Amino acid sequence: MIGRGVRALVTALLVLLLAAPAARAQIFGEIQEKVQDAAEKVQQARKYGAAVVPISTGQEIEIGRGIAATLAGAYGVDRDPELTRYVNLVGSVVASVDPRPGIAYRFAVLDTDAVNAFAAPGGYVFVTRGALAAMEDEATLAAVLAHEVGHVDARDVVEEIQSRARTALGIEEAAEAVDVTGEEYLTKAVETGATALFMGLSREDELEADRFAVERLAAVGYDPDGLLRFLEALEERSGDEDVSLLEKTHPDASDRIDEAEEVVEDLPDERREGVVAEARFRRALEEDTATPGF
Amino acid sequence: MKRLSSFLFPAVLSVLLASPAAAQEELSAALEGRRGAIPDDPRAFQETWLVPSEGKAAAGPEQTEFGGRVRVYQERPRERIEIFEVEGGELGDPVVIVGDGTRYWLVTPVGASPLLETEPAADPFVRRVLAGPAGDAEPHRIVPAEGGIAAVVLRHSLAGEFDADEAFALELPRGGSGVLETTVSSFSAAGDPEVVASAGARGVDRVRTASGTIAVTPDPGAVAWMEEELAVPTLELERFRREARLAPYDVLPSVEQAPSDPEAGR
Repeated sequence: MIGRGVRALVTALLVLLLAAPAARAQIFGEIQEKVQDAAEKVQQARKYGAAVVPISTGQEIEIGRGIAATLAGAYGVDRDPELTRYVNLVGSVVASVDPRPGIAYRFAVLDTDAVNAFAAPGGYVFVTRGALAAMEDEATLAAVLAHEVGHVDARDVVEEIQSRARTALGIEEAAEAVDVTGEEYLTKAVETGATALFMGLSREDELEADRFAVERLAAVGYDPDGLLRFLEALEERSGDEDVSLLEKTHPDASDRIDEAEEVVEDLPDERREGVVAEARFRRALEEDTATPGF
Repeated sequence: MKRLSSFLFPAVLSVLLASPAAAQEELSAALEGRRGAIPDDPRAFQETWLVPSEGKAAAGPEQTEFGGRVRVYQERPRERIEIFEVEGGELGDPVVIVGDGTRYWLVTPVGASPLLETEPAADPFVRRVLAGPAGDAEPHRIVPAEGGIAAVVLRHSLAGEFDADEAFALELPRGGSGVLETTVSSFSAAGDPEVVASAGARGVDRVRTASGTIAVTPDPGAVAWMEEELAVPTLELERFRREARLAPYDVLPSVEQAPSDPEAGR
């Protein structure tokens, strides 16, 4: 794709250089016009993007189920009932503050040593065993789950799907061609969404989800430093194979720590401290290791 | 026996005949008191009600459990009260009451009726909530009952502004009963999914990742399991919060420190 673009650009430049001055001016004008036209279309597409490729909450859930099935297939889901129950309770605490209408959050553990967490649209949230092993208390688990809930609340993956659809189709064609209830579009949307999760969302989306997590921890009574503890653990393990995908798909842990610290500092004094629940977290994880998985 | 029945029969009869009128007068007075206590500045708050686990009175706060949640929006002389009572272990549909400054109305999807003429006006939980206080109150208060306590009430302010036109309208707003424009301090159960488990989730078999393309065998069964098995019942979630004294239970006196997890606190 890039090679073809570069070849076309080189050819155009050669034609431009070899052409007579008058013809050169004309070609320049045409190119300028096309560039301007394209820029206007991009601007228009950004402005009307969500309207051009609308995705309702119901469609979001349907797409999210496909992405969740892909994530579950990629890593395997740990179905330990006690551990899953515990993760769901912590997740439900952070998700149940003014929940998005129509969204029911579910939290599951992915059976991998890789340190990571994912949120598929529609409320399907995953945290890995590797991430749990990197934590020491419940507030930290709540922070990671709140970060993922933040992505769902902000519809980050949905907007990524909308953005790629309108870029691929162009504004007018998208309005006519996209049947979001169609099988073909659904498969494309699932593929695009899963790719977005594995390739990484934008830096802004990630930092916004961190901000959301700190504020949410404070709102529900958890220690807002929970996110900082997780980011510090990531920073310490930088370069490890188990954190490599997370590092490739997120801003630097040190940048995230700086930003999160600012959010904590902006919290009202009475919200800067909260429940850590180290003992309850350890108990939940110890019970899990004592119970053979199935 | 004859003497007892001759005494009891008229007494029971008089209670049966007099109760509705007396109860209505009592509620009417309570509503009058509410109206007078509404503060000048607009405000919204939420109450978490803990009621006796068994019977009508609990010996102490430890013998109470989550019984319901109440949201109140006020702007003198108007107010809106949304009462969510636990029914069968889950929060039921709200009883929505709006005071327009002169009288109180029960607002339902089919319209508004004078509260005193409706069935919820006789509901003990609704009556207890309406008894107030509607004005300032401690973040944690106890409602006494004969032989113990009838309820423990935890109050939190709700941050954010609300739309007064919508809040005090005598009809339910489209898309739900909540009217507060905020993202914090509201603790409700997770929303119901718009789409329920159906033909099974469809995944994709190849995904591009930051470390290269990987082959995947989608697992729709895991998604069905998440949908069917992992919903958290409201009462269990409330117990979990209370055990660690997460909000809104953070205002409970520290004597009620989580008995099964003394380290779970701050």
